[in-house]
Amino acid sequence: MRSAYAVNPLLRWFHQLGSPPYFHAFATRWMPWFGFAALLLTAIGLYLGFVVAPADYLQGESYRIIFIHVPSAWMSMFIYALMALNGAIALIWRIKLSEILFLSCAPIGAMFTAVTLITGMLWGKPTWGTYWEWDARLTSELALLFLYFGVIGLASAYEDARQGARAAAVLALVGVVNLPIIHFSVIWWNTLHQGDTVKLIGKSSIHPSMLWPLLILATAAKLYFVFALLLRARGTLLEQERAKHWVRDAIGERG
Amino acid sequence: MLDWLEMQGHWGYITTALIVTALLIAADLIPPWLRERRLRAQIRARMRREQG
Repeated sequence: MRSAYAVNPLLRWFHQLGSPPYFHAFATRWMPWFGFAALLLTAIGLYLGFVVAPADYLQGESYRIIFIHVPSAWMSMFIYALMALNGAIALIWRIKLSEILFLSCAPIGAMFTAVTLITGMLWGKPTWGTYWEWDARLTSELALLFLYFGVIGLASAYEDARQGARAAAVLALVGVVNLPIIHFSVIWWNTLHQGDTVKLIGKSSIHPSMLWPLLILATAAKLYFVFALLLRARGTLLEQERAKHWVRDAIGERG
Repeated sequence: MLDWLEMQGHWGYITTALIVTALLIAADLIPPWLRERRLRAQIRARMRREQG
């Protein structure tokens, strides 16, 4: 009887990816492609969003901040979900690579959350007349930033790094409850923040000339995330496995 | 500083948003890149010492 790995190549690939030498080779091979694609799509998206797209009839030019703000906001939640998933895998199955990916997600997610909050403030002033309001969407996004800081802080607070990672994973899993709060806050409460403009199901209330740059920049943000995640994870892996033969072989080969 | 920003109009907010984003991306990328460079140099130096 053939094993599941022989039947399903995707499953086999996932299994192989858990091996540090394989992951190192994969990251080294694909990182430049992800980085280049992210850079190219960012350039195209910024040109379409900041030069080609027309000004909004109500908000004028300042609405263009959505081309940075919205992809960052999506990424801040997506990365948290992925971080918590890796944290759960690391907690349950003690897979080293999942632990590394979990810890590598946190600073990138914190960066996207900070971009979301700052660009939101810069959009809020000309649109609402204020940089900040303690409404449900803004407050729950700020809570997300504190959760990322909590995960980073807790992971480095223990002398035993693996014990720190496990404590941080528990915090990350508890914090998942904040994700639906962020997403549905504009529906559940009467907030200053506008409702969803781009919808996965149903018609989006945004003109295609504005939607396309937004989607291109959202794809660029995803590709950037993969690039940054591979960079961080590869560095941590090399640090942890520096005494192993495969590290010497890999560095000896590639310099 | 905020008064100055508000005097720049809509493009002032847009430019500030772009600059802050670029700075945060640089702060996200540069430290792990430098750390890996330093680590690779250390591993290569140790390999040379052991061979020599």
